[in-house]
Amino acid sequence: MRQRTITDADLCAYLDNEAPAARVSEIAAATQDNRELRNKLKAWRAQDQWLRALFAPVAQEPVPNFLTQDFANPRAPALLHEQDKMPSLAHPKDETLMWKMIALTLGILLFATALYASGLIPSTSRGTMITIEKIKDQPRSLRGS
Amino acid sequence: MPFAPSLSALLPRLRRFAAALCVTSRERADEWVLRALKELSYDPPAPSEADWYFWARAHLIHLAEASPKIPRAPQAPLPPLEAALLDLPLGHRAALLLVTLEGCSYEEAARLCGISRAVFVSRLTSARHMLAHFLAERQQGMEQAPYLRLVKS
Repeated sequence: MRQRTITDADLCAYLDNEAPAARVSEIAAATQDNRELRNKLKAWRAQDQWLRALFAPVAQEPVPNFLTQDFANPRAPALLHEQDKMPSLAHPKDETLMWKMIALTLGILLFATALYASGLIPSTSRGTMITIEKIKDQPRSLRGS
Repeated sequence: MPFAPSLSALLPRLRRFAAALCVTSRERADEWVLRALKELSYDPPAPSEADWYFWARAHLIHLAEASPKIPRAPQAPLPPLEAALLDLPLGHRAALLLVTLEGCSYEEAARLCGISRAVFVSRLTSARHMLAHFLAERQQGMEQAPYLRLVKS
């Protein structure tokens, strides 16, 4: 029987226990015979071990309070939504600044309206209105002059 | 979430996966975990812990894809394995980590990445090749010029 070529995908599947049962012995035999395949398998196995060792300490660390405290609480989902206040690194949200700017704009508008209504600031449009009214009050014979 | 107390047992694993996906910043990895938890709390409760964990990791991968890459500080060069891992495209990194760290089957990992099994296997194989290549490059560089230091980036 002609032996099938062992591809990298076959080797990966063999390493991760994902190879079909019928292929396992074939791949195992090929790795024994072929030095290149054997070295590749060895290198990949070492990489996997290094990766597991590199990040294993993270799983042993105590989980930060802001991630754990809410799980013991039956109101967990509601509390998680409240954590929107936590400062974000990737997408900083400065909603406070936005509301301050809106309040400041409204304040300025109200102040200007109050000044205008009290007549403390002269307005060009208001002056024009008075002029038109004065012209209307004049006798028709004087309007042309 | 009726199984909320037991979820805390899954958090260390979820943090480890986030840290490995992010590589450089633990703060950012924890932020992704928090965001994934929030996303899950908006959705209807998952029927089982396995489903919950599946969707938590799916959210993490999505967040990692959506986040801008953190620029590397030239003053603090990363160790070779971390630097090589960071050089992998995110899809390849996720594929490799799902299998090696998380022990996912190819089917599950492909579903988590939102791709077909064939594409996943191709991505995983490429990731292993690329990681070996990047590692060899770095180790070779360190052996050839241990006296060189970065003066100006």
